[in-house]
Amino acid sequence: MTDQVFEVFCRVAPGDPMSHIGTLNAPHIDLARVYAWKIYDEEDWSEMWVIPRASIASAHPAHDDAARVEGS
Amino acid sequence: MSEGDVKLQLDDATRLALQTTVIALSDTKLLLGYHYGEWTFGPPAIEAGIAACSMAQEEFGHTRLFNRILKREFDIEIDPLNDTRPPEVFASIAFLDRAFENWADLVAANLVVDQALSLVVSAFADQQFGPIARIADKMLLEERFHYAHAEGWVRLMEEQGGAPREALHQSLSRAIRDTSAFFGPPGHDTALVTAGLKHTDDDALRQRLLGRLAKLLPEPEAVGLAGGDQGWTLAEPLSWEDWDSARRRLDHGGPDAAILDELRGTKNVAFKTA
Repeated sequence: MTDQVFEVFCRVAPGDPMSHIGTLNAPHIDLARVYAWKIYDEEDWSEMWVIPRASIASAHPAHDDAARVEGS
Repeated sequence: MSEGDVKLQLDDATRLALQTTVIALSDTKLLLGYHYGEWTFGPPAIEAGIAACSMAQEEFGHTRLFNRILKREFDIEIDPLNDTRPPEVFASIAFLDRAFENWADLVAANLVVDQALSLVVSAFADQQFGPIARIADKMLLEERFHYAHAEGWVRLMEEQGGAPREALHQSLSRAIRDTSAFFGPPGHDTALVTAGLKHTDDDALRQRLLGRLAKLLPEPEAVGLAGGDQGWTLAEPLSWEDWDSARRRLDHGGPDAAILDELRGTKNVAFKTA
């Protein structure tokens, strides 16, 4: 099984903005969750999320994925 | 109930059973922490090394908590840096006696040994022995990530098949037998349950562990388990004649002297400050 890249996002307190705090490699989401907690636990986060980078789409029109609009 | 109350209420046999359980938890977590720490370097992924290092810190922290209980409740002082006990008196699970040969050994300890210790701690939660009951919830919360780490790697190695899967099965087979011995012969801890210190006896905890392992593993028989819907046991039952109740093990050896030397800082005695 090949590793995927996961992006890690955290929120310090409820209502605070979500911050991107780093990345990690893992073969699947379950290990990614463990690794995220073990690597980025230096703060008392109220939330921590891991998201496969492959699931994130760019919304910027300058980026190829976002610019793939009919007729553009 | 204050921490001293239970000490006054227990008869000698129950008190000894409780004391040996706490020593076994302390000794086994110390050795488990050592192996986790060793695998900070050399794991198959950098992230796995960080996780192992983190788990080591937590196991050493738990050992310190149990040693504090031993001091307060039983007047027994175990200081890992100044411990002079010979290997043959350690009450640690035999699977941890020697350096791990490969990552499969670490995953097996993570899945089987670590989970067994958590099951024993969980049996003290919300029960009458305050010193463990009070720390159980936080300890078990940390241990949830240890289990998630083990489960993630077992899934991965099972899917990989071939040599990784074979190595995992060999390691799990040994870990399961040594850890089954740790739970002792059925009924050995009846006094602790009767006294209201544990809500579940070790025999039931062992069955729970083996059932969980069988549920996780695609082929439980490949790691020496037998059974089915009615419950899982060892395909080759243990013989309890040589069981050492003080050490909770059948193997009369002990941790390698080299491991104890590292835990005790033997090479660095000249630099010790206390």
